[in-house]
Amino acid sequence: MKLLTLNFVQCATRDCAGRQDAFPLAPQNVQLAAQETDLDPDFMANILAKIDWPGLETSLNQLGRPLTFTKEQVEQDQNLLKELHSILIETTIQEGELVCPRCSHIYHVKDGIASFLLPPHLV
Amino acid sequence: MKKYLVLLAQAHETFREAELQALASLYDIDLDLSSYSKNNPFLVVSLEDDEQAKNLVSRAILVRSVFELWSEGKDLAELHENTKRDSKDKWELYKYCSFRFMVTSFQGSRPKQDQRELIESFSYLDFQGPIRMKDPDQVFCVLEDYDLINGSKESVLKHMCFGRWIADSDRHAIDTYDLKRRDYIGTTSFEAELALVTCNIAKITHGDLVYDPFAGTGSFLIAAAHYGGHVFGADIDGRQLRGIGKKSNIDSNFIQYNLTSKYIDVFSSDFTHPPFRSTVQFNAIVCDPPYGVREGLKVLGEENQQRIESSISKLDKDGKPLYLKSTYIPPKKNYDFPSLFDDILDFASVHLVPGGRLCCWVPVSNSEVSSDIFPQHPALHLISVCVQEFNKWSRVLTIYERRASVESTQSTRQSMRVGHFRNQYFSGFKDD
Repeated sequence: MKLLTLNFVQCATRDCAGRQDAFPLAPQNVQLAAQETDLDPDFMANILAKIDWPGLETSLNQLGRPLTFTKEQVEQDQNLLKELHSILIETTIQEGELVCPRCSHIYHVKDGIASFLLPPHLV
Repeated sequence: MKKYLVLLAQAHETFREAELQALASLYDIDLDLSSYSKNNPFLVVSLEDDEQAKNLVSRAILVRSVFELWSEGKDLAELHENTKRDSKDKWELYKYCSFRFMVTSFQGSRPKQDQRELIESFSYLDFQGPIRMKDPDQVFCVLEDYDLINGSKESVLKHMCFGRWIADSDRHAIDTYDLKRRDYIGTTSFEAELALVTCNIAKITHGDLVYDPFAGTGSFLIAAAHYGGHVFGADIDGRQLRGIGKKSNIDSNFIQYNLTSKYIDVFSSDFTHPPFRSTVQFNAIVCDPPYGVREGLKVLGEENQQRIESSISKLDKDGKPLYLKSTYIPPKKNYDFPSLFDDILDFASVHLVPGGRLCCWVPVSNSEVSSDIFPQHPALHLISVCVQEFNKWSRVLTIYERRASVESTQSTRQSMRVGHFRNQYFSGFKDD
């Protein structure tokens, strides 16, 4: 699961759905991996508008890799766009847990694929 | 404006118009399809220039090629007459370039010797350049349409066109993405041709963010990535997403087609509980949801209250609830297709950018196919439906576009008006 996806998802339980404080899910006991891919400037411009920046900062702090630049700086600087690409697209969570900051429900990531399936009392 | 001849593929005729209109709108081309006819392989359109003609067809699937139209006629004599009358100003432009001729016929043909004579009958064009079979500067084409004579293999010439070749379509992609040679497929993998058509109709283009909530083995994800979309997929069945080992899964399909950089993620989730935060918006949503025939339509949940309570209290040997473990398999309950379709429209109304398209396949029994059975949502405009007819039922592609603004007068909501498809399927589509 790429860090871009981590920035797009939140807790899916009945009580948390649609609530802003059920985001971002906190990564815990994770194994990260890097996977090189081509930078697509059109796509990066498209998602730059869709990223929740405070959420991204929180996630990267939780992963112990704090962001060193702001959104405004990225919009001005091609090199930083490349760095953001490497964070969002090239960094994946291979194994680990994602914990809801609101209800503490735990989602699992196995072989790079997250599961957002829910037990019956949470749907 | 100049006249161009679009040579249509004789396949999936009900989808051709929708595909051309979508591509025209994607490239800002003002396209008049009033001369379009379902049974005619030739479509004459007015376009600005060759560049626009190329844009219109170069990624189309249900088109073969596009030509600059020089003349038309009901037979060869009339074709020559009109060529001499209407295209004389063009002859000089191609006088010294290398060229070749070709003949394309529908529902009929000529023997090789006749073809040669046909080509030679154009000698008055007086092209002086060298004839090159391989990579000529220009290709000129004689196109013939025949009518089959009832009950025989004979056919009679109906119409002829003559023109200069401009571009071929993306039809060869059908072969590139043929399921027969794809590393990882499953029982519900969607054929390449209509998956590509779906993504054209969804107007997926470079830099787009695309989502398939019923990704399965990723058929639509691959087609969307082919057109430059960056793709997310979800499925309630994680086993389909994981595939069989490292060499045969969705990931390996993207590697096979050299599309890895377009692949974002797949995850398991139930469509009635999507994990996206509400401000995430996609440029397109394409899907073929489960019809509930093979194994019944299921979503997360448990009808039995007692079982829900007991699943909360079950602990492992360390005192941790079982439902929080990675090995936990949540129960599923039955669901019906009209409700699922409502959920899809609700999701699209929030998670599509304004102008973004939802292309969703739906099963309908043939006795019920009509455009007013499909659900309506105030935030979505039902643009058209394309029908792929089978023996007793049809697979229908419904095309919705997110409105830029929702007006209160349009606030009608309507669910799908159909019988229970699974019951109809197993009763052989007999009337109740």
